[in-house]
Amino acid sequence: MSSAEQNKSTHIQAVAAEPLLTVKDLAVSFETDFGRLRAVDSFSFELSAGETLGIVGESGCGKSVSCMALLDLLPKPAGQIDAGKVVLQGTDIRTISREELYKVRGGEVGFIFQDPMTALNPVKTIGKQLAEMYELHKPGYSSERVTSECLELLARVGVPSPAARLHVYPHQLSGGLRQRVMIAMALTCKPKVLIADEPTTALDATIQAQILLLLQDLQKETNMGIVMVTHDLAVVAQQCDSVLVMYAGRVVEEGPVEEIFANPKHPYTQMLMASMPTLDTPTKSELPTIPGRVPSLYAMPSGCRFNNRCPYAQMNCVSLSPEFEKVNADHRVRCLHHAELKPRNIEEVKI
Amino acid sequence: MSKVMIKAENIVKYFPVRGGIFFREIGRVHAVSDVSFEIAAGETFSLVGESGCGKTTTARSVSRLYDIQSGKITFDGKPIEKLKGRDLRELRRNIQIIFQDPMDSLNPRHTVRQILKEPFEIHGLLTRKEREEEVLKLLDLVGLPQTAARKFAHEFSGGQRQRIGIARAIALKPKLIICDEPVSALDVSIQSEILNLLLQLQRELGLTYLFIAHNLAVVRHISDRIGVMYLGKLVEVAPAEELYRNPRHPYTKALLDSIPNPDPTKRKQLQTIEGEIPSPRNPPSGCRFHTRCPFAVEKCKKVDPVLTGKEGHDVACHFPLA
Repeated sequence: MSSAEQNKSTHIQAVAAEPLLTVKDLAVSFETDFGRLRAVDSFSFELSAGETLGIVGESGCGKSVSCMALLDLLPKPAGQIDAGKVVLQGTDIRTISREELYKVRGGEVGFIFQDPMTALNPVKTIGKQLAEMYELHKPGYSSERVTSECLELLARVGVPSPAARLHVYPHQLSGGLRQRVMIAMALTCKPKVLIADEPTTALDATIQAQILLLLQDLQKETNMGIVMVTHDLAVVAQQCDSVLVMYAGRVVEEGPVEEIFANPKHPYTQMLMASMPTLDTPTKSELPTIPGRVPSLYAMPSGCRFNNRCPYAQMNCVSLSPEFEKVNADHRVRCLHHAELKPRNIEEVKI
Repeated sequence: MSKVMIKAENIVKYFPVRGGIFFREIGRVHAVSDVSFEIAAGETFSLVGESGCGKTTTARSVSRLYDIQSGKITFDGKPIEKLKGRDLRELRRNIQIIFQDPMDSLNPRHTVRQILKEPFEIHGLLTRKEREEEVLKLLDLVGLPQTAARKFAHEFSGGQRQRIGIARAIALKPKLIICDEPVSALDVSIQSEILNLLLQLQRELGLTYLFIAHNLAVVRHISDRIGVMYLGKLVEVAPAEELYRNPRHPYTKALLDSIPNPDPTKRKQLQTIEGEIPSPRNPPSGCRFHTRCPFAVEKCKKVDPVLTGKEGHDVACHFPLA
């Protein structure tokens, strides 16, 4: 438990200071054929310097949309932020001007996307794309200085023979190298916050480990806060200090990672963890599953959004929408009956 | 030991690289080099390894989707590497494939009924009425409602689409099913449903699986035996549990050390191998892993190690780990 305590102490230190990024009650909606649909609701979190926050959930639960909304990167005009605040070091970036927002994007906040092949420009060399970051954010730099800094950056993220790589196109690089280039671009301006949207999902296990280690090293060096979106619970366990679990557009549980994994309170979190085979599950055994499917946005159940799949659902789960309740100091859960549920009793409700 | 369903001996598959004005062969991508393995009836054998290591090519070669350059393949006691015409079609009935992305492998213009009837039409089996009944039986077997028959692939979720892909694969009652990354594109909770379905069908229909995946926890869960591939070579073969408990090839060890532990209190320092997989156009001499192996010595650069071992745990390394 020593690592857990150590984590906790760094966590407390960080919290004592002003949080780096505070998101409060963010709501995002999309215009569709079925009218305006709310994709994310009351999305809030705090991120301190040096902290890694994991956002987990299944496809369509709103994790990527929430991250895009932080920097107002939603597809316009369909996507729209309806409410909420995104406070970065004391300023609400929803109230600042376009020009200032451009400076924040890629400046104070770096962004790594899931698929580097679609995020990088296929018709520009790596060197040109990196130099673009300097043109936008450091207009005074001479071209020699830009080149030397680019080389330094590529070397720092572990790209072998960086001088040669400046002149190649993205398709000439392997998946792991492309992801490293993306990370290099995100780090150009030494951001305070790094948002990583599924940074390792498309990669092999060994390359994933390389990228995760790289992010850990960079974080130690620059003390940046990292928001890491993923659907892989093992990556969260390995990498994050705290975690948000999302389901159908809402955060259903949040807390320090050790606490959530040891003592998940929301039935969805419990079932999600049980359904994942680990290196300890007996081979060829039947895995617990979650019955039913994620509800679609235009047929959202009333009350608790998990009520139609929850084995513990009761009458009031349909009528009452659960608010966040404190389990302890920093563990919160959105479930009306969490106090009555035993932790980890998921095996008993196997379907 | 039950009978051998499929046996591959020293199979070699390379793809020529052509170029220049006369479009001559200017190089070769060595996708599968001298790979041998066998799968017993009713067993699940998995191939794991990084992208580009030849897992899929191996699977497609043994199912005759690719013609191999050399080697022998025996299916159900008969050599199949040279089959043609009617015999080959007969073989296709017995070997079916489940693909990674069901959206790409299901015809978007066909209803599920048409998709599931097609295998019978191609092989000229059953009467029209029997086919109709068979479709409903198949849907039932993979846990889809009968109303699904009228719908199109795009009307389903990813997990349901994969069920349709599975229904099509089992339609002709094959003996061997090749599962090429069947759960990689699915969410965690759906993934467990599909794994359960595959295990259930194996029990009920006595299927043999050749399973390909890169998620090592999933592979361990579903497999009886596992083969680890690196750059077109099989470097280690062992029973599932044994491989995870006692990896003997440095590459297998590195692969296992790179998986994060899903328990935050047992967080480990991730270990990883430096560098990336070399190009299969120009594979390293000797042991193909020597360029990244922390224990490599002079011998590894010169002599290609042979896959040997005892008690079903084989390894291709001059200095296997204890």
